[in-house]
Amino acid sequence: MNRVVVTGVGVITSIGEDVDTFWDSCINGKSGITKIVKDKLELLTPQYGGQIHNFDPGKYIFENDFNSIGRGTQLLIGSLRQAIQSSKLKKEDYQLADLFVGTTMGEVSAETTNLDRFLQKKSEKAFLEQNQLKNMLVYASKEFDIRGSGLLNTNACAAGNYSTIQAFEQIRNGKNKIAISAGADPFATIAYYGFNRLNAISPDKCRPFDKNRKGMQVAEGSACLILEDLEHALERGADILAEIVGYGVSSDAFHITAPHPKSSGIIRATKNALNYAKLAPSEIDYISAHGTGTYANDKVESFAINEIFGENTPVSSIKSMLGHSMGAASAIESVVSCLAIRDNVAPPTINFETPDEECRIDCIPNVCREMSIKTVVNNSYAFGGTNASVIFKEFSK
Amino acid sequence: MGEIAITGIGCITPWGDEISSLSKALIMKTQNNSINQVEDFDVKRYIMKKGLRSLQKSTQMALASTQLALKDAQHDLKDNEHDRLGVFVGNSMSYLNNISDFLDDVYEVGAELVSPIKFPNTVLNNISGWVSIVFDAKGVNNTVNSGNTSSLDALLLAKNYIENGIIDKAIVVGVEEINLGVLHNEFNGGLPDRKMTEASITLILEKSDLQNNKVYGYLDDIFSWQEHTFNEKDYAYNLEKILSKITSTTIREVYFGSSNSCDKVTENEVKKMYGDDTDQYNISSHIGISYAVSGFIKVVLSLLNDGKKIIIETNETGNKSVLSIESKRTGKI
Repeated sequence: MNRVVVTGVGVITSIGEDVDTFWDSCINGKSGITKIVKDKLELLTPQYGGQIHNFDPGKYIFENDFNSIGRGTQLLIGSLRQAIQSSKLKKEDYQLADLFVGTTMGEVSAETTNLDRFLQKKSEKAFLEQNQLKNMLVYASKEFDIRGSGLLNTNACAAGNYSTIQAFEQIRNGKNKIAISAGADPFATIAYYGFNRLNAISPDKCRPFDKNRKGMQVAEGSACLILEDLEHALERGADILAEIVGYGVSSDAFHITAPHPKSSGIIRATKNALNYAKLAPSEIDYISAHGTGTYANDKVESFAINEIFGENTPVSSIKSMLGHSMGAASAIESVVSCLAIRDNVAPPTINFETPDEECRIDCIPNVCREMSIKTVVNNSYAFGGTNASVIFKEFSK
Repeated sequence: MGEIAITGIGCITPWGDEISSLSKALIMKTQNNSINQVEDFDVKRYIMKKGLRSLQKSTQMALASTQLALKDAQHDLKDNEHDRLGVFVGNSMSYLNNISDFLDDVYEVGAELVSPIKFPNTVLNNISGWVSIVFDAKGVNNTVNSGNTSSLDALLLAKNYIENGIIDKAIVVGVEEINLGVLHNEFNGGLPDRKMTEASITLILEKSDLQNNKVYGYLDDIFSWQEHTFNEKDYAYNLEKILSKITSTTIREVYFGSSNSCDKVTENEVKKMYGDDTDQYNISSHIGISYAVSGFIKVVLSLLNDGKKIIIETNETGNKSVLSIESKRTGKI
């Protein structure tokens, strides 16, 4: 079996529209939560979320008419362009890559003007063209003339990790030398309304693992990772950020919106990942948590971490800064996992004030932590009870 | 050994819920602009479980076809084996109905008062979530959305997870509901000018060395590739290249037809490759647009008699798939 390494990354988030700015904001605990600019959200109060202001698709999109494609695809192409540039791959290499993209709502969360037209039965064919989900892949592939296989995973908030897993297996099994994994979601009006009615949105801050946590913040973003066969990467002298050494997947099979109260599904996903990577829990240096800031998620995730790792393995949730960027979230957190290994620093969980007896973990409160980081588990849990954990490791020959 | 076998099939189609009922699709004469809908569908005829009535029809049909497929496969797992049962769903456009339904209420009663029960229906993986809950499938749970090739892409994914040793058995669903949201978007609020078909089809996959019962057939190769721009020459070249990789002495039948510009090219390439020695079925005129379930309709048709079959599914732009399958229908009977 082939070894799989990460040789390029890209991110577009509310705390940075490039990797350096994002990472600087991340380790300095900067919040990207602002008042939402979205006309129809006047239907609700409060109105805070992780929007990316002043995003200019024209900086990234040259082969498509960016005005005719949805925002999710614009964000996707943006991080994809960054990742390709950072990998220094030649066109003839990345053209043959397989592309795996994850999203929660995709272009479902079309601009409200389009939604209005849709509801009033006045939308034109352009609505379908813009918002047909498969076109996220079509436009992204067209932009870079990618001709490998492609798959759009609509696995809700674990979609980014699922895409990474599929890209990983593609290389591991020798089906391709390069595979691209990405996650992207625009700010979803529907998600905002829906999660609000599920009482899952915090009226002010997102406080993962805090006793007074009140929920998550809906956000948008995208991230992309270039995965490469180790031999291929070494041959061309690529900069290797990290190696992917295993993954675990599971389903709660319990409830469509609530996690299993005994954490059984997420425990299985993490244990499966450790078994795959042949690592003991004690060998994990840092856990990038799903950490949404909802009462139920943080409680069951903390329980699972305690069960497997005990109370001392450092854990943090960058959703405290970004909000929950849905299908992009675990892809962004995969980039964080790679950068944490590269720089030996773990980002903090901001807005943490009051410890919770039900979340007995070291959540790296408020200030980043410099420490040796050789292995990272990136957790993602999603709507419908689907769970995926991916393990990143410092690369060594 | 190590081959991946289809051990169960469940169908909810406009022509009935028997596997053989799909063959009616090929002989029934229907109007060009008709919609083949599953009439008078009631999920309770298939599954008695609390909480299913508020689900959208697409989810209910997926649950019903899965129930039939598991029964057909004589599915009987021990407790610890549920951890290695995966769910894969291919869906394309049904979500538009769910969103339309949810947002209609948002704007009518207000965002603060809209029923929270309706929101989960709008999330794109709600079908696979419900299948896992109802059938206690605790392995990998994956939804894919790639237009017409969605069900074949889900099948490819399931095959990969089984071959990689992550699961032993997979429930693979292709489902599409044709409703107001879809019709409105496809035909800009007007009446359909093409035939459309809704259906849900579930296949049960497992390793051939694990299964004890008889099988419908074995998956040979599944090829999937993207073409971001439609170009007849490129598509013809790629299809020819893929078909020439499928090594078999005799291909008995080829099924294709996705109601798009690829069909004509496919027909020419298939004729060129197989001549008159192989039965060739373009199902476009019978099925019309069926989005995600299109590939699985072809798979089930191909399994109705023995022999090596090829299924070709396309999006005009986007993914294209070729599946070769060895049907052992007589074995199953």
